[in-house]
Amino acid sequence: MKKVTMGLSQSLVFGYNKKKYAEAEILEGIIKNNDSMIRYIYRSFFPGIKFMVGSFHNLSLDAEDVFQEGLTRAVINVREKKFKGTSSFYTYLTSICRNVCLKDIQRSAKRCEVSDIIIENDDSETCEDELIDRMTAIKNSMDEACKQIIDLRFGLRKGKDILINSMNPVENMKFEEIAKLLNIEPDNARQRFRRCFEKFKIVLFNDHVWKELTI
Amino acid sequence: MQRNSEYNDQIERYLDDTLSATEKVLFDERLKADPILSKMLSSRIILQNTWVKNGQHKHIKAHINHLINIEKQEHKSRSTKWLVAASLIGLLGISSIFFVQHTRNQNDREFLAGDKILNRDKSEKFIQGQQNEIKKYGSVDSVETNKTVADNRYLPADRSVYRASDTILFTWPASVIKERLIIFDEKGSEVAELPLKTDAIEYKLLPSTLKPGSYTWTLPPNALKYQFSIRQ
Repeated sequence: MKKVTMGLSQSLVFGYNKKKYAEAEILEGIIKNNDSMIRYIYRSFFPGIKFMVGSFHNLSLDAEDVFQEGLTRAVINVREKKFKGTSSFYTYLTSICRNVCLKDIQRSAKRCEVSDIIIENDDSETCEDELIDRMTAIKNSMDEACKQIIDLRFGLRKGKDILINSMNPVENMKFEEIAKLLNIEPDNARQRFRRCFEKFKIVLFNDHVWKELTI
Repeated sequence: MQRNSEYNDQIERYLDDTLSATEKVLFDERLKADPILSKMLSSRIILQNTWVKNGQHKHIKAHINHLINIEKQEHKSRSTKWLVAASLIGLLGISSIFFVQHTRNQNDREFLAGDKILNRDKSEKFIQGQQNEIKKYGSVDSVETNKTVADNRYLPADRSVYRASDTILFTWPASVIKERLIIFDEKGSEVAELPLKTDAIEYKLLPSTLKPGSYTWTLPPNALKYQFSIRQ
C-alpha cells in the first residue's frame, strides 16, 4: 500500500492537522491510497454528510454507515476514473451518500409496500452498486470453503488490492496455483470450484432481487 | 446439462489459456455459433467482475472503517488533550480571579481598617517613641544614680555640657539646706525657679525643657553657682 508522506508544513497542533487540500490533491490522495487523505476526508466532510443524513426520516442506517458506504463507492469510482470531476469531490460524495439514504428508504418502503421514492439520477449511482450489494447478501449465505476457492480462482487473494475497469480485466488464478495454496490436487481444486460456482449461480439466478436488477 | 458442464470446463480452460490451438479454434467457432456458450462466457466474466468488485468494495470499506476508527480515537485523544488544556486554563483563570479578588478584599480590608491601624500605629508609635526616648536617653545622657554621687558633689558640675536631648539630673549633698532650685541664663536672668522638698536630693529636668545655651544653677540660700551649657 503506497503512502504519500505529509510535509513538515502540515504541522500538528495538539495532533490536529489543519491543512486544507485542493481538489486535485484529494483525488491524488485517493488514487494513491493515502490513509491520511481518507482521514482528512472524514474529518472535513463527515459533519456535512451527517447533517444531510439527519434530514432523512425512517432511515435504518446511521450517518456513519452512510458515510462509510458512500466514501467506499466514491473511492472506487475515483480509482476507476468513473468520477469525471464535473463537481467537487464533496458534492460527489454527498450525492452518493444521498442515494445510499434514498436506496435505504426505498428498501424500507418496499417492505412496507410503498414505492413512491425516486432515486436521484446522477453519475454517482449505477446498477452495479446494487448488484454488488445483492451479491454481498448472497455471498454471506455461502460456506467459507466455497467463498475461499471462488475468491482464489477470481484472483482475490488476501492483501492483494485489485482494481477493475473495462481496460483491465480480472485475472484468474490457475488451478495449479490454487492447489498449491490449499495443498490439494489441481483436479480437486477444479472440481471444488466448479461445484461451488454452480451452487453460487443457482442461488444467485434464483434470487428475485438479482433477477429484477439484471432484467 | 451435460453440455453445460462441458462448456463450463471449456470456459475455465479458455480463461486460463490452457486450450490447445485446435481446441481454441473450435471454441472460438462455437462461441460465434452457439448463443448459449456465448451467454455462459459473458455471464462467467460478469459474475467474476461483480464478485471481485464485491471483494474489493468489502476490502476498501473495511480499510476506510479502520481509518475512521483511528481518526475517531485520535480525535477523542485530541479532544481530551484540549479539554485538559482548557480545564487547566480555566482553572488557572478561576484561580487568578479568586487570587485577584482575595488580594482586592485583603486590600479593601486593610484600607477599611487603615484608620484604626493608623491610629493604633500612631498610639503605638507614640508609646514606642516615649519608650525609645527613655531608652535613648538612658543610653545617651549622663545620668548618674544617687549612689554614685558623692555627698559633697553638686551636679551638673561646673562647666558641664549637655545635649538638648539629655535629661539633666540635678543632685546635691543631702546635708545642704535648700528650698528651691533656680536656673539662670547666660544674661543672668532667672529662667526657672523650681520648688524643692526639704529632703529632696535630686531634681530631673526633662529634655528640651531648656533651650540650647549657657546656664547657671544654684540652691539658695546656698550661694554656690554651677555653670552648665546645653548644645543642640
